[in-house]
Order: sequence, then structure tokens, then C-alpha cells
Amino acid sequence: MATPERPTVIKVLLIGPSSSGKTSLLKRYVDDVFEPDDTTTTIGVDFREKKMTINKKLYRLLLHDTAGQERFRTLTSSYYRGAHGILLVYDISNRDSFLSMPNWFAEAERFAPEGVLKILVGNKTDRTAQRAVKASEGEELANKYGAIHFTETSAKTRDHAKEPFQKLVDAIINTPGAMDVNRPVAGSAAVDISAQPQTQGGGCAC
Amino acid sequence: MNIQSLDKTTWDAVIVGTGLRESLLAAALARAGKRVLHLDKNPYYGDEYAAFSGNEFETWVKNAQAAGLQVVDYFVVDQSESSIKAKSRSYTLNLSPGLLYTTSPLLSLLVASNLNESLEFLKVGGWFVYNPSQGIDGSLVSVPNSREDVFNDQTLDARSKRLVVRALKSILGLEGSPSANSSAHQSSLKDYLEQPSFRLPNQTIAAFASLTLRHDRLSEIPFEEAERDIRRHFGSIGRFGPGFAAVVSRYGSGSELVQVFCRAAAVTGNAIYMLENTIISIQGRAPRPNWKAEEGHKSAENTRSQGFQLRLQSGDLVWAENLIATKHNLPIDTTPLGDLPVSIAEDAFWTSLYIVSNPLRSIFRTNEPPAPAGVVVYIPSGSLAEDESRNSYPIYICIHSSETGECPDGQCIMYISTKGDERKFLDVAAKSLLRKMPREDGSPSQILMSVKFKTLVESPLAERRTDGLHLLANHGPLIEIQDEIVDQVIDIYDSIVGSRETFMEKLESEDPGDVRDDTEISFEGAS
Repeated sequence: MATPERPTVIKVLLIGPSSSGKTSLLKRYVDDVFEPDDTTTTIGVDFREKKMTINKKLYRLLLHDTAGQERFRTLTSSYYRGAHGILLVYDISNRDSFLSMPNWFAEAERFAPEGVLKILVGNKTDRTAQRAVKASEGEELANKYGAIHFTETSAKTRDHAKEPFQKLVDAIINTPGAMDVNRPVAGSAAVDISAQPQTQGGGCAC
Repeated sequence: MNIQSLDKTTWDAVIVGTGLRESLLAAALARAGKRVLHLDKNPYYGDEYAAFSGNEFETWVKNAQAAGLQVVDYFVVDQSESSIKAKSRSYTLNLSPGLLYTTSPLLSLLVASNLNESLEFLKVGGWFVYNPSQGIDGSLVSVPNSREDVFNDQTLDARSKRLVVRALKSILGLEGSPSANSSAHQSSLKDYLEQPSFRLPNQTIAAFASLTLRHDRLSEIPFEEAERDIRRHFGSIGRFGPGFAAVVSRYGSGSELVQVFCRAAAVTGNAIYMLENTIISIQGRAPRPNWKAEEGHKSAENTRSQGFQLRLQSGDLVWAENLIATKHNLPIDTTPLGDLPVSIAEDAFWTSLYIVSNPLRSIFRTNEPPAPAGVVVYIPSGSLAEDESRNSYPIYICIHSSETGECPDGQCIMYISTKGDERKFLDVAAKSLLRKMPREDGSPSQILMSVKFKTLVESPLAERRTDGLHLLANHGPLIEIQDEIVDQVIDIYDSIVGSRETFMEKLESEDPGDVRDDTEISFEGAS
């Protein structure tokens, strides 16, 4: 059934408190745009997709955003299923946003597959005057919760905005075992319900 | 924006409870541009369709017992309690098996609304009749899927095979069959199958009955309905591959569907989700108040002046034009029911979940790989004995392998259900079947944990409606996720949106999610 070159799927999630700029980072990475007036919640798409060829191998990167379900901490456990990597994003100009991160690490620990790779991101470095979290604090938190990398970004000014995505994809591809998380059986066992229904063939040929 | 408060917000619909009907409705309304507040009193999604890790399940049991709302029987082998806890996350324990026929309108709906990619479906491959009163050898018999199966069946002699095929043709309304006499349509399944001209062996009668997924006695099943069920079964075989009529979603169909629909609702930006919050009182009906619309969302069109003032557990006061919930999710003493009946006819069932220390590989065997992840076993009424009584209703056992992600390798999950108050036969059924299937090393299979709970099902399923209040019938999913659910939800959608055609339409494709960048990247350090 498999076509000759079926891209390898990489699933990456963004999580973190409301208004930390998850969607802006995502848009900056996928479309290279920034929409300052874009309001609070994430609208319209289930996931964004980016196809990439890395070392001549085809990848399909699926980037899932929280769809506003982070607002009351009601992300579904199925959101985390099969994730290879997670970006945990807070706002460096909002202390509470930073202080909520241990809860987000805990939620990832609870629902995401074991062995999922995590990167901590302090966003909105353009707000220098309002900075409420030191970079060293972010660094420390990332170490404490086993994030493989920490970076500060600005989706607005592009400052390091693509780095967390690239580092995460790089790590997922190059860390042994990171691609096989949460895949207990071969995909071939799955039934394709979008396939054209077969004619009565296997049915009752009475 | 005050992200914590919903105080003084207005909504086109407030939906309480995140069961399957409520979640599908939330997704459909949100896609149609309606503003939806979706609440659940529990800290988890799914209501009667929920699924839990090992630890969460124990909490659910204890809470259910403490609340006294549901009779719950809990049994766990001492030494396995710690191993279930240690492997808590290897379990996804569902409150129901969530079988979906391949012809289920839910499956086509998922594909039509672009939501199927979030789910993975697995085969439910075998139907069996288990009748321990027939002697240990002939007791577990596979139900034929086709005429070929009937002819290959070693347990039938040539004459019986002809009779079975004739009866099958008759039920399916195929050519050459004795035209289903008009009286058949008023009779019961029992009368129909036992009619003298069929001369069917008992085992075949049970096989036909097993395909209905009904817990009633044969004499209580109207033939017309059974005929529909059996035709659906055969009509479903082969739809997505040979040899199987049904599927389950990995991790549990009900709980996964609920989460997919809730996320689909949230993704539109029109639905807000809150768990551990519910309506504590309904403060009467009132016109849409002139509250400031929630920041970031324009106020919805005022289509009807009257709605409900609702006080939430969080303390917030909200207004809803439509209110949708089952009665157990509403403060029924303050609900303006008009002349709606609070209670309608209810049937009681016992449903249960068993974790078994045996993968039961032999029952998942198939001639058409891959192996199924689920099978259905039917135990006819009267075939189990305990304390000198016999089960008066049939019993169904749905067995799910570890392929479903519901349990670790080397184990399986059995969902056992029956009607009425015959709880004791659930254990009898489980133990009897396991005695028949010892582990591959010959040691006995063990029940590591079991939970039995009583489920009340109101009928009919259709919602009762008055002035913006949509009271859903209490509904416990037993074996399959019922096809009627979709129609029921479309009815409610229609009454709110005024259209059936727009139900769960694909989103407009300004959708930048479809942008396919083909980026050539090579990372430094990548070999």
C-alpha cells in the first residue's frame, strides 16, 4: 500500500500559558509573518504542516497549536499522543507566565509519550523594558525539567524565532529512539477509513 | 483580557457534559459560527465515554463510589494493584468498548469533516458464540461471516449448512428466499428463527442473535429491528477490507472521538472549554443582556430574545440562548422544564471492565492478517449457571488486545455487559471463558482487576426540547457507538442553526494549514 517515498511524520506541539506568543512563533516559523493585532486565541487550523527534505530524506512536520484550550488548562490527552517534541513557551515580560511553567512541564510529563524531547522558549525579547524573567532563570528551569535546550526569542523581530523549531527537529531526527515514541504497532495494522469503500467483495456473497 | 473569568458573557449555546453527543454538537455549532461554552463537572473529558490511565481509573472508581451516584463494584488482586500503578500510563481504561460498524455515520462524518487523521482505527475481527453448557469442546464457535464460512464450518453437517444459508438469505432479503411472510414483521427474533420451516440448529440461532448486539432475550427483540441489525452487520463486512464488520479506535473510540470533536470545536475559536465547572442554578429566563462581549470576540447576533441566566460553579453569571445537557448535568430543581417529563422509560444494564493477565492470542487469530485488535463473544441466555440459577439475559464480552493501547503487552481487556440485575454472571462469564483459554505456558489466566458498574439507559434516545432547552436522554454506551447519535445531534443542530446541510462542513480553505512548504534544509552537524 505504501507509496515509494512516504514522508516520515514528525509531530511537534506548542504548549504554555495564554498570550505567551505560541501562535506568533508558529506563524513566524511557517509563514515568516507577524501579525501584531492578532488577538488572543488561535483560530481555524488544527495543525500546520511543513514538508522538509533533510539529508535527502522527506519529512512531514506537523505543528500543533493549543487552539485556546490552554486558557483553562483543558488540553486533551489526545493532543499529546504521538508527539515527538514539545516547545514550552512563556512570555519573558510576564512573571506569572514563567511561574506557570512547572505545571506545563508536569502536564507534558503526564500525557506525552515517554522520551518526548522538550525545548523551553522565553518569547517576546522585543519587550526589553518590561522584562520580568532573567534569561538565567529560564536556563535553570530548562535544566531542572530536562529540556534539551533553552532559548529566548521574539516572533515580532525574528530574534532567534526559528531556532527552537530547528533545534527540536534536528534533535528528534538525530536522537536514537526519538522517532519511535508511542508507536507500539506497525502502522500497517491500522484500518484506513478514508479509503474508498470496497465493493461487497469480502461481504456476504450469499 | 481577564483570562480567568467568564462573568457576564453571553453564548449562543451552553453545553454541559463532554459525552459524545455533546462534543459532536459543540464542534458542529462552533464550525457554524455559533459561540459555545462547553463545560464538564469532571476534571476529564468524556463523561460516560471517558478513558483513564491506571491511576486515574482508581480515582474514578473511588469518586463514583463516594458520590453514590452509580453502583460500582471494584476488585483488584493485591499484588497487581502495584503493578497497574507502576505501569499506570500503559493503560487507557475505557468505560465502554466503543465498537463502530464500518458503515457507522460517525466514520463517514470524520472523513467528510477532515478529522480522521487524528485517529487510528483497528479491526474488530471475530464474532463468537460461547456456550459452556454445550460441553467444553464445541463451546466457543466462530460466527460465519459469509456463505463460504458456513460451508467451511466443521461443526455443521451438510444439511444444516443448507438450512443456515437459506435462513441467512431470507433475513438478508436475497433472491430465492422464501418471501419473508408478512407475519414475520410482527414477530420476535425468537419466533422468526425458531419457525419450523427453518429447522435451525440452536447454535445458529445464537449466532444470528449475536449479530444484533442486543442484550434482550430473543423473545423480546422485535424481528424487524433484529433484521435491520443483522443486515447492517453483513453490509459492513468488507467495507474497509476483507473479513471484518467493525473497528475500534486506538485508545478507545468514545474517548478519542470526544477529544477530537472538542478540539475541533476549540480550533474554530468559537468554543471555550472549562472542566471542573458546571451550572449550579438556572436563574430563570431572560432576554439577552447587554453585557460587554468577551474581548476578542464580537457579540453574536441576537436571534431570539429569550435565553437562560446561568450561575456557574466558578461563580460566574452567564447567559445562554440554548442550553444542552442530560438531566444529570443540570440542576434539575431550577431547570425550567415546561411540560417536559423529567423521567422517561429506563433500562438497567451492568457493564464492566476486566484486566486479564493473558493476551488470549488464540482468539485474535485470523486468516486475513493483520490480526484483529478486538473480538466479540456472545453468551446466550441460560448457558451460565451459578447458585442453581442461570443467566436469563444474554451476555456480551468484547475483548481488546494490547494493540489498542488500552493495556500493556501480555494482557488484554474484557468488557462484559448484560441486562437487568444479573451482575454475578459477569464474573461467571469472565472466569468460564478464561478457564477455557489458559496462558500459553499452561498456567491459568488471572483477572488482575475488575470494575462493574450499573448503567441506566433512557429510551427513546431522542432529546426533549422546549424553548431553547435541549434535554438529552441518559445514555450509557454498551457495546457499539450507536448510529442514532449522529441523527440526534443533527436534529438539535438544525433547531439551533436552521439547516441540516451545513452540519460539520469542512472549514473554509483559507486554511493556511494546507500550505505545503517544500523546504530544503540541512542542519549543521547532521551526518
